Amino acid sequence: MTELHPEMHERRILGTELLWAFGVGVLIAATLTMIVFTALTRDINPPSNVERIDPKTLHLSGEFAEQNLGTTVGADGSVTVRVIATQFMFVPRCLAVPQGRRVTLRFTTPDVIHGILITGTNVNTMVVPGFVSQVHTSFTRTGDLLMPCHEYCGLGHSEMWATVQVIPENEFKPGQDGRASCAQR
Amino acid sequence: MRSVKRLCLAHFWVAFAAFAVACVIGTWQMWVRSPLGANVGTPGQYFMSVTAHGVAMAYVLTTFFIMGFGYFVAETALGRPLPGKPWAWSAFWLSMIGVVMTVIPILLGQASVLFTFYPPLTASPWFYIGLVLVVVGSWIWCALMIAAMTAWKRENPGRPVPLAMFATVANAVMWLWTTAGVAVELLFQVIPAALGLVQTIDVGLARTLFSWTLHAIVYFWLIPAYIAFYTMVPRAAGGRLYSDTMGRLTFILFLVYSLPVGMHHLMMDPEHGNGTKFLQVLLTAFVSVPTLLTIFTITASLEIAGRLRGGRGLFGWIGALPWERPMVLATGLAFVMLGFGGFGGLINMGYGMNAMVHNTSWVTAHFHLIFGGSVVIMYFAIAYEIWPRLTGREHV
Repeated sequence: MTELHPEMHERRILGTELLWAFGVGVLIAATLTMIVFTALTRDINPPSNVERIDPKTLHLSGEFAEQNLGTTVGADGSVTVRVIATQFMFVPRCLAVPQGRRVTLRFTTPDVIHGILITGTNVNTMVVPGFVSQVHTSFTRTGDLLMPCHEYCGLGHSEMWATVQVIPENEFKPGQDGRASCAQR
Repeated sequence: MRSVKRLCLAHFWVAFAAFAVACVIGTWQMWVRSPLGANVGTPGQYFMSVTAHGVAMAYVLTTFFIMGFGYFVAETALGRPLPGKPWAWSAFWLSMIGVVMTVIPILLGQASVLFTFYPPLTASPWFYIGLVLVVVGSWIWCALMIAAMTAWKRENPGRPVPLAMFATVANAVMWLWTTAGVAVELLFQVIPAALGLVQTIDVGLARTLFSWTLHAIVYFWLIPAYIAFYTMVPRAAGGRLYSDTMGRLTFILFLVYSLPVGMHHLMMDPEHGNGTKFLQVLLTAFVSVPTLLTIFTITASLEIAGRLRGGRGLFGWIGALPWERPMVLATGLAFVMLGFGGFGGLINMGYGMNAMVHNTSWVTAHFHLIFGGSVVIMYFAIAYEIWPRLTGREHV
């Protein structure tokens, strides 16, 4: 390299840099294409429903009042699970869901920031005071899954977790009122 | 050079003392979380220690090291005395008072909100006010860096600013902009709530403001390491910098892309829609460009050094590098860690994969690879390199 004319040197440096920049561009374009492709075709998006709720009154009436928490099967067969995350527990503590069906999970909190994930799945969202977090999913395996709080919420944070009970489709039998809970098994 | 020696050393001693304490605390946390130390300590002690570890590493070590190194660069790269030295000392003492005000409530267990605050969790007001003082001290540093460069430019019309100072000022400008987020959050939301002046906090807004600062703060920490890559490593390896232009481009790209990029920390938050989140994904993808350019330029610079030292063949130059020199070895290790951390970051960027790793130990590992593996290892390499010049002792 050292015997090259200085001008050749500069040109060679520029050439290699442009080549590398092209490679970087291809890498980034490919990654972004994958993200957009899966978002559009497989509906893989972050939870972004931007739905406000008053944390001071959510327990008094509406969908997060005590009698509406847990699993509800609508007339059309849609499954919705409503959960309140609060220092330092989830209400209810066990979520009953059917295997292989589209499930909508809705979370909110009356106090501080929390977050949830369900182990072995891609269910994951923050739970922020003032907002309802919504995740759609479909559970592929039956059994009990752990749902810990994953955002620091105070000194009792590590005690805060719930269980998700994935029930085989033929054993999932909601009551007359369309309600299902872990205890009924 | 004489004039800033004590100033730099004072900053470095505070930075490395904070690092030593935070290391001990971090080791204790690993122990109590392992089967060996199970059931040792209370949650109160544990989360107090997490807060102390985060504050010492993320706010004290970094801010003090960057300020001290900035004064060194301003005087050595520009070859002129630092203007406004009394201001630099007042910034140091202001930050020191801030550190003491922050540490006392942490040790009293009145600030176990971690270094990321998480309002509406509330700590003692002194904790937040102390951190604001540290930030204000760093703002004085930013002003001094800009003033030093401006004065040099007046004396040297038409000449390009030396790369190390160019990068330092880019970092100062970025820091001024990015700390505005956390400053607004603390001054207008968190501190009034901690003082009991207001009863409610808009948590979505608080998280958005804090995220304005987040991530760009990582580039603030990282840029001194990059300054070492571009200005110290090629010389230490016995070669020369492959391309000065790429260095300047890298620092400009950091400045441009990192401004709002921290909001990608809110990817799983309910207060932002998918449009905002996709914009953050785009910015995150673009901000990988300066790092990828740096990997190429510095590897090419090392190849020049290796070949000058007689390395042959496709990979022979790697073995020919002077690995016994701390700066070269630190760079080699930093590149490995930065590689793992960086590719992990690209995984965090994807909608699908982020859903599997968000808020798990994966993320903790990601930022420890970048922070411990690249940032701190290069801080030590830099300190090792410039310490003899600061103390007046020569290399043996």
